This record gives sequence, structure tokens and C-alpha cells, in this order.
Amino acid sequence: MSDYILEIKNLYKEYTSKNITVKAVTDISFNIKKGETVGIVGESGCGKTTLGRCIVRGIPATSGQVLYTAEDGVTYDFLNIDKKKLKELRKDIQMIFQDPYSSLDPRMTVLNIITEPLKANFPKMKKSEMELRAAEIAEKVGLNPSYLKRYPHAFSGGQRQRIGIARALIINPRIIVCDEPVSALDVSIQAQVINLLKDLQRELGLTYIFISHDLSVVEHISDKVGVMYLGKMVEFAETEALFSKPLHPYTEALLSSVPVADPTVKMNRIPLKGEIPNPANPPSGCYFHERCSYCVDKCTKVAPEYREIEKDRFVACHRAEELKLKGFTYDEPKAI
Amino acid sequence: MVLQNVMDRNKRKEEEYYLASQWTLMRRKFKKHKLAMASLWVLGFLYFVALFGNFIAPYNLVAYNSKIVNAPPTKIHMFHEGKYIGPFVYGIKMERDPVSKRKMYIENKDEIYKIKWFTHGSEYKLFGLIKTDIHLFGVEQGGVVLLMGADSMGRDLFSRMILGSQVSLTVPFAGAIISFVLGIIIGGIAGYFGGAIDSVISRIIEVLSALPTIPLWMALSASIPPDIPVVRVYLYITIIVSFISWTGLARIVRGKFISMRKEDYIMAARIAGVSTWKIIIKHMVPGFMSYLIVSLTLGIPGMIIGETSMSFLGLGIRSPATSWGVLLQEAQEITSIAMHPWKLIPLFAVIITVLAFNFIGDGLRDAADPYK
Amino acid sequence: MDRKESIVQVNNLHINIKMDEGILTAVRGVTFHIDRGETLGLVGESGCGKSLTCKAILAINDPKCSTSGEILFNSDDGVVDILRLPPKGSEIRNIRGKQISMIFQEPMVCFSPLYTIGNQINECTRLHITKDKKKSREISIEMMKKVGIANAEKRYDQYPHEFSGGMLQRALIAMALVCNPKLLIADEPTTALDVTIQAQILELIKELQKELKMSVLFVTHDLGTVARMCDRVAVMYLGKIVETGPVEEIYLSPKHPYTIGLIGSVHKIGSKRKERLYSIEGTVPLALNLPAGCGFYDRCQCRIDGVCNVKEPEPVEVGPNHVVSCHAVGQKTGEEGHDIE
Repeated sequence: MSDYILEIKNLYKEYTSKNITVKAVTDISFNIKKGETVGIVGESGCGKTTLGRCIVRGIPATSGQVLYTAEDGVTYDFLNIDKKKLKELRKDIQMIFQDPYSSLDPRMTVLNIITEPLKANFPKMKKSEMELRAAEIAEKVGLNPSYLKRYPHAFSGGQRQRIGIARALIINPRIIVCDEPVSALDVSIQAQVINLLKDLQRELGLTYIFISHDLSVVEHISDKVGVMYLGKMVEFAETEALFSKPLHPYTEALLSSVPVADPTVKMNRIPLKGEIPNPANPPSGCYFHERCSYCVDKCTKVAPEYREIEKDRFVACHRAEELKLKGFTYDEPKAI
Repeated sequence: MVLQNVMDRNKRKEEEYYLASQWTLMRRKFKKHKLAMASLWVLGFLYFVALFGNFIAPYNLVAYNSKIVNAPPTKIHMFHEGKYIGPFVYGIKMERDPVSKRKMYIENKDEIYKIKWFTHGSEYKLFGLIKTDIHLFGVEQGGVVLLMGADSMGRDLFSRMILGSQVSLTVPFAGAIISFVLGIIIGGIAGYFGGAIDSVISRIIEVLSALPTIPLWMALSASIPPDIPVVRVYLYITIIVSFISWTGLARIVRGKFISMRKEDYIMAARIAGVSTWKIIIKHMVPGFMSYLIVSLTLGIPGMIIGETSMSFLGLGIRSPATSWGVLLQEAQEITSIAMHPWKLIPLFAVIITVLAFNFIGDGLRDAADPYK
Repeated sequence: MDRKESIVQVNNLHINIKMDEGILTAVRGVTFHIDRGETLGLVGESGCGKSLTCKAILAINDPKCSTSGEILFNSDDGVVDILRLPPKGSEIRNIRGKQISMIFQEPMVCFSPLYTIGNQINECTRLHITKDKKKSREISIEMMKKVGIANAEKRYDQYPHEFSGGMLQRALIAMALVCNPKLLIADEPTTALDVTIQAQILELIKELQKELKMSVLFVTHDLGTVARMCDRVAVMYLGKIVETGPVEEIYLSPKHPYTIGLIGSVHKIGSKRKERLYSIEGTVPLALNLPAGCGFYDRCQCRIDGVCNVKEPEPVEVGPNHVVSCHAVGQKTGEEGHDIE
């Protein structure tokens, strides 16, 4: 019986077309405990969205394993199970999408959108039962059940996102991959949806993989955070540890670039030279070496190993032990 | 109080908008397109007349009278020598013009033939089922009523127009249905499976589209054996004509499949465990249906002109069946048109029908994707 | 103009859009000013009317919008009211791009794919500075260097698709600033960019502002960016400005319930995690057939029945340069803001 509900092992995803191979996801491994929220952050081209879609089997991964421990205690490799088992286990791992406008079929009523997973997985369920369940879920996510007969065009972005959440929840999943679920929403609506996600997690014992580029949101909602750069995981740690004492230069630069919503705080941005490289043509050695202020000769030749430097703390940097990188100092009340 | 009414009315309008499905939204937008709505009425009228054609036409396809060859349209009078006696026609006498020696038809005021409603005429089957011989109107024995003149065999053009419309208006429709089915199946296969299958099908479509249509029709039509029943000829013509449009439709379906495959809601359905077949039927088909209907409607004029052209060239419908194209064969020579201009009337019928379909297609296209 | 140092003074701006369902009162009486050399942040969520307000300053709104009020601009030829200038005339064209410039959210769509970047930046130079081909090219390349585009001579002849998002935004800034305008309107310029690139661009704007002694109207919904960039902040909701003040006042002692709610909705990075974020209930209503009274009434925690749903609140000064439009605040003279823990 595994400690973890989900273990991602050496996940790869490559796209090949016309002799160009783009390595979207390279050798990603991390573990999640039941009820945890793992945040995945990174900038464009880092592969976080591709990672999320591979985990739920929305797109086929090139290689790797996703070891899922089901409710019966048995561990299956979600990416390599037979069709019958897949049909059974698929309900346990669901996804919420980023764009509230393209994630709902505009030609179906909201009721049909929400009950579609029920129809696919419980074909013998009666129509009235399905409607009842849909109304229950709608209320849970803060939608008025009397609006279920409407079409998506009747709803705002935040409400559509709630519909997407309802659709993911209706078959009682245990793990939900949230792909930038609040990025397309206004600030005040973001807060509503984030609070909703946290409430649901507490109530239903859900496990989240929260993919986002917004570091403030990730810091707020995650227990652990993984930082990705050009398809590779460069650092993985508990949230507060990562934000206060980053071990990878990219993490340090990323954290220092986020504008703090407090005009009295002085920002000390660590400048990053250059731009994000082309994923089809990554640099040699460490992918980050061209932009890193701490780069030494070894970094240009040898790719660093992703290793466990402390308990539950991973980093891929040759100089992780020696560098003293800056993070955020959290206000600690002074002891009397 | 007034504000309350206004707010309630706004709320109701809002509610209607929220509950409106794609088709309802399309319908509302379509109604705003005045030309399209008018065309809908025009086509409705034409199809209605075609449906009741045998009843409305005073003569049938085979009736002819050599005494009235190339006669001009008969004038319908109401008053004879000042007295009102209801609609009637005078007798027709053929004379030769003393100077040009041309045949002329003049009214013989001595003979009066009354026009009656619901007369008995030639026998026919209404809707192909009910045997009857009642016609909408007819003339007393001995008279002829030629609303649009006669052709070179003395046949009433008006009756032949109406009976011809039965072919000219239905062949494109039947052709459209065949195109529709072919387009969806072939385009769907290409779009869904992609890869090699898609390449092969796309190349076939390209080759077929590149073939010049008139030689293609001529070849196909020449291959129809000469002595098969009329109905079968009709069927073959329909199939030939549908060849024109299925390629365009297949392309559209294929394109839509490819673009829809990437939509998030398709991925969401797959992740939820919905089967491939269900995804196609429930998500993809409704997605491209509106585009398909638009394309089809805009393709019908091509089929009408196709059938008309083939029949005009003598390759299509054969007698005794007739279509507007066949009728236009008599309008080939300039002298014929100069002396008997009524023979051009079928041309206007074709133009009006084609325009009507085009306007409707425009209206549908503007209404097509209410979510854009 | 009220103040001598003001560059722009917007007085009682109203913008209405005629729609099938009625009249959309998008902007309902907006008044603010921007001083020389200062950065004013215009903060609001979707539907508050901030984009329309910005476009009105340049008179580039869709003709469907009917605009009223005053927009006074301290131009080279004295104070003009932009709304009174003929919309296609030479006066306004002399202002656009030369005295007031604008940069937008998606640099990708701001450039034509058919012409080189240099050509498009140069269009501005040739229009307003000099028609001499050689000289204008030099000036444009100088500007490209100033905004941090490496290899400017080479990149001058490249096409937009050869530039990354961050580079395109720099090019857009070059195009906007090449004529040294008095006012730069930045409409969400970094929302579509990555965090590290965003930081670079924001720093660039700040540097150039200091160097060119320019005013900036910074429009955004991102509270982090506002805190870093702006001297003063105006908060907009449903077509009205509900609170204006120096940036520290707005963040550390916000007074309007909407501002308080907005600031509470965002987790400040590097601070202790709260259990829940403060969230304003409900959603922004459509500005169609709005009822009387304060626009924020149905979502406000501090609403006073009989007052807030009847009368629009008037602006009240609650501190140095700090103005709030709220009945509840107006009544509590001298009290602190509300606690939302």
C-alpha cells in the first residue's frame, strides 16, 4: 500500500513533425499524497499544461508511468492499463480547463454538459436520478439549479468555470488536475473560485494538481510546488520552503520578478539575461545555463541531475548546495 | 409601475435568450434578413405550384394541337361588346400576313369560349397517388387557353412550365440530399482518422473538383442507355448532378472535424470517459451541421443550372418528361426568340429560383454560427 | 484646467453604447486628472469601462459610442478639449502618436504581419518627426536600442513573426515613444507576458518615463503591477471611479468597500497564507438599464438601505489627495476602514 495516491515517474512527451522534435515534457517525476495540492508553475513553453494533459490521458504520453493507488488499495499504472480497467478508473482522475469559453460545448444545455460524464459511466442511471445529482452538484459549486436548462452563452466566465467544476465533480473523482482554472477570470471572481476549490477539497477529500503561471495563487493554494523550465522540473519542495529558500537560480529569478501587491515592499529583481529558448532547440548541458547568473563551465556541458537534496526536496542544479539564494522573508511575530 | 413592466419584459427577453438553443438563435437571426425571408416565400410558392402541378396546369405533357403551333399567349377577356360575361377567350384563326407571309394568329370574335373553374380534363394522379381528372381551370370545348403561348409543336407552354418545374425543382433537391450524405461520410472519415486516409481522400476530392464539369456531365450522360424508363433517367441525372457538390461539402466536414478535435470540450468528454462514437454524434455533428446546411443551400443553384444546362444540351431529361432546360431548347435560335419571345419565360423562372436559393443561403450563412 | 501641472483633465465623461436591448451606460461620469511626470493607475475588472475611457482620450472609440463631457489636454498648442476636436481632423491626428501614445495588451495583433517592424515603427517617425528617409530610420533604430532590442539594425528589417512576445512589446513601446509623447496610455501591456518578461517591460517603462519626463496612464486589473508602477491609483467600478488616492493609501488603508474587497481578494506573494481569500459575492451586473443609486449596492457588505439604493454617492475627501465615493464612508467621518478578517 503506497504512501502516495499518485506517483508520476519519468514522464516524457515529445512532438515530432517534419524532422523537428519538440520535447514538451522531459523526465518529470514527483509524488502526491492524498488530500494534498501540488502546484506546478512555469512560464510559457515549460510544458506544464502538456504535463497535466498527459496525466489524465487527455493526450498520449510518449513514455513514463502514472502510478495511481485506487480506492481498493491496488496501485495501477494509469498510462498502461487495459481498456476495461481504464473505463473503470477514469472517473477517479478528472480535469478542469483554463478557458471557460472553449471548455463547454456551446450547443448543449448546461444540464446535459454536467450530466454527460454520468451518462458515459453509469448508463443504467435513471434520467430523474441524474437530474437530481446535477442539481446537487450545481448547488455545491454555487450555481442556481433552476438555470440548468440554459445554454452556456447565458453564463459569465466565472459561472462557466463553475460549470466546468461541476462537470468534473459529478462522478466523484479523487484527483482533479486544474489547468490554470482561474487565469481567465477577473480578480474578484478568482477569489470566489479559489475559495470554492479549497472548500470542496476539504469536504470531499480531493487531491489537486494545480497548474498555473500565477505564483501568488499557487503560493496560496498549494502544499507543495514544482517549478518547470523548458519541459524539465527544476525544483520541487513544500510551498513555504520553496518561496522562502529557493535552491534553483530560476526559482530565485522567478520569485523576484513577481510584482508584490504592496507598494511599501522594495523589490530586488534578479535580472535574467535573454529569453526563453526555443523548445525545439534547447541549449546544451543545463537548459537554463545561458540565462543563469551563477553559471559555471560544468553547467554548459552536463545536464544536472534531478535529485533529492533533502527530505521531500528535489532540485536539478549542479551548485544547489553551495548557492545562497534569496526568497521571501515571511513576517514572523517577534518572540517576547 | 411602468419601470416594473419594462424590467419584467427585459427579464423575459433575457430568459428567452438564455434558453435559446443554437437553432433558435439561428432562426431569429435569419428572420432579420429580409431578402432571405422574401426568397423563402417565393420558393414556397414555386414548390407549392409544383406539388399541385398536374392540378393547376390545364393541359398535360402530351397534349398538342397542330393548329396552334407557335401561337402567342391568348388574351383573356371579361367584356364582350361592352357586356360582362365572365372570363373567356375568343377563337383563334390562323392567317398569313400579306407582306411577310408569316403565320399570324388573330382572334375570331365570333367564337366565344368561356373559362371555367374546376373542369374535367386529362386524367392524372395527384401526388402520384390519387387518380382524378379535375383541373383548376379549363376552357369550353373548342377553345384553347394559352397563358404563355404555344411551342413549335402546338403544346401549351404554361402547362409545360408547371410540369417542368416538378423536375427542375426536385432534381436539385434530391441531388442535394445525396451530396449531403456523401459529404458527411467521406469528409467525416477523412477528418476523423487523418493521416494516410485523409491524404488519399483529399487527393481524390481535389482531382474530382478539378475536372471540368460540362465535359464530365456530357460523358456521364452519354453513358445512360437510350431506352430505359423516364424515372430511371431522372434518377441518374440526379446522381450526376450531385457529383458537383459533394466534394465541397466533404471538405467542409473534414475541416470542421479537424478543428473541433482540438477543442477543450472534446477533450473534456474524452477524459470523462465518453465513447468516440458518442463524441462524434453528440458534439461534432451538431458543430458542423449549420455550416453544412449553408453550403448545401448555396450549392443548389449550381445543381439547378447543371440540370437545366444538361437538358438544354439534350443530354438530360428526355421526352415525354420535361424540365425548364428542355423548354429552353426552343429558345436557342435568335429568330425563334425574336418571333416568339414568350419562349424565354422559363429562363426567368430559372433565374428567380437560383436567386432565391442564393439569398436564402446568404441569410443562412449570416445566421450560421450564432456563437461567432 | 484645474491644476497647472496637469497633463490631462477628464471631467464628467459619459460614454453610452446603443445596443439592440437598450443603451449600455458604459462610463457614467468619470472625473480624474493626470499630472506631469506621474503614473496614474486605472484599476478595475472587466465591464468597468476603463478601456473605453482610455480610447476616449485618444478619440478612437467606435462611432457607435456616444461620448459627452470634457477631456482637457495640455497640448503643444495650449489646452484643447479632445472631445470637441473633429474626430478625423488634423489637430487630433497631430496629438495621436505624437503627444499621446498608447500601447496595448496583445503586441502580436498590433503589428501588421506584412511589413517589417522597422517599417512600422518608422511610420510614426516619418509622420511626426521628419520625412527624411535616412534620418527617420536612424531615429527609429535609436529608439529600438533604447527599449533594449539587441541587434537593432538587423532586427529593423525583420518581420513580426520573427520576434518573441516580449520583444514585440518592446517594439510596440518603441513605436509609442519614438516621438517623445507627453502621455503614454498603457492598456494592460504586460498581462499576456510571462512573469520574468513582464518584470523587464515594467522596469523599461519606468526608466523611459523618468528619462523622457512622461506621464503614464497605466490601466490594469493586476494589483501587483499597480503597486510597483503607480504613484496614484483610481479604482473603477461599473463606469464610475469609486476611489482615488496615492498608492500607499489605497493599499494600506482602502476606504471604498469595492477597493477593500479587491485588495482582500488577492494573496500577497511572500506573506503568510490565509485560510480563505476575501471574496466579493455576486458578479458585475451588465450596465444596461441600471437601477438608481450606487452601482455597487447589490454586492456591498456595508450597504445602507434607503440611501445607497436611492442616490449616487458623491466624492468625499478622506485624506490628503484621497477621495472616495461611498455613502457609508461619507457618514463615518474620521473612522478607519473596515476590517475584513
